[in-house]
Amino acid sequence: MSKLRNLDITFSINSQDITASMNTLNPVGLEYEEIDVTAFSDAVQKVLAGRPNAPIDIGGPVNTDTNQAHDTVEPLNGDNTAYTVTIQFGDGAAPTTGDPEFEGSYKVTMYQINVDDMTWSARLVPGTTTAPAWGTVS
Amino acid sequence: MGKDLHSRWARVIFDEYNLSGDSLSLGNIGMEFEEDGEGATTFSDGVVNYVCGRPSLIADGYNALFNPDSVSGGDSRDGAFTALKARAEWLVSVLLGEAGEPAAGDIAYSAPLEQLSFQTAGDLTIAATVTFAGAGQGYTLIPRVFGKVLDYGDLTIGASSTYSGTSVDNGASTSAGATAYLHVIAAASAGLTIKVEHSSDDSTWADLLTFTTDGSAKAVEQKQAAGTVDRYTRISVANGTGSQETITLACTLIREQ
Repeated sequence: MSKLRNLDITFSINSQDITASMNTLNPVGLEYEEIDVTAFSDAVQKVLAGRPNAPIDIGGPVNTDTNQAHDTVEPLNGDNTAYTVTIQFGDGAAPTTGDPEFEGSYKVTMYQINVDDMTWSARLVPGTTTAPAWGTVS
Repeated sequence: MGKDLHSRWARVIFDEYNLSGDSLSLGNIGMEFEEDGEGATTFSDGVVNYVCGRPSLIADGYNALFNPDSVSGGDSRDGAFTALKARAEWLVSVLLGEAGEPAAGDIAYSAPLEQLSFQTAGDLTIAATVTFAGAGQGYTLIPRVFGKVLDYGDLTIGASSTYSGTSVDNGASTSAGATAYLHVIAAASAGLTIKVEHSSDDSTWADLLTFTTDGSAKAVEQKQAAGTVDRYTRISVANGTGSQETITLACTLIREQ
């Protein structure tokens, strides 16, 4: 089993691969609401996993090429439309069938450029009632 | 092209003041939208999901040299102290040149900003820190702050002739209108007609909007156009006088989606 490296990650939004302008991708996955259901008689604290959330922060160097991050992500900021986000993790090589994949529908709620270091960053939040999910590249 | 951006080629303009020569840092510029997750998520939803609410401007804060220079007439090379101590509301444009001075097609940020503070620190190099929040009350805030540079720098227009800027290709037309920002940094000596034109084929051009300012005085203007904006846009500066005119300006265009 290989140790995965970020060199082999791909990220696409709205069917556009913008990996070439990214170096930040965090977090990827679901985090569940933690509800304390401990009763007096319970020997240990009990927790119920509630509804999950899955926001993602992305970023990288500003890249003005067509179909890279600024061209692709900035126009989606705040348009209240859910776009498919697909993140694939290659195993020592470009992602291929069977490799881990996280996919879901997201809205863009923030886009900014840091003028001092010429990096961009954006925030994605789940945009539909269906939770993003882990799977594998088909 | 690509990743050839550096703060060395960023130009920061407050109204008619080009403060690039005094700029030390600017931080983040952009826009964010309220995330209404709690209000949009119902019992049966499989995940917390969001509705985008009201936008707010991102302008982290501006640091500049505490430059008290004051120049009368000519171009507006007043120092940051002279320019910023007096005003509370600005039309700010940040032009991001690619391996050189900003030019047509480069990334531009333009927004009305409310200045909240002006402070200085008595360190080795005295610098001024200016903070902003929200949108200036006197201007229209559209829900988009990034667009393209149409032109920047000194333009020399011959007598009775028209300067046409380099066309900027958006890849496709848009249908929700656009907002243009014009900063006259150094005025011409006589009236000019300054327009933004658009074209579907980069050959036949029509007027998209015409600025009220005629370039004969330092000024800033925000101008909006509704409806279709064709694929290509450019600035046009017509000199109807009988002598050559020179003007220093920055012009940006933001298409609404």
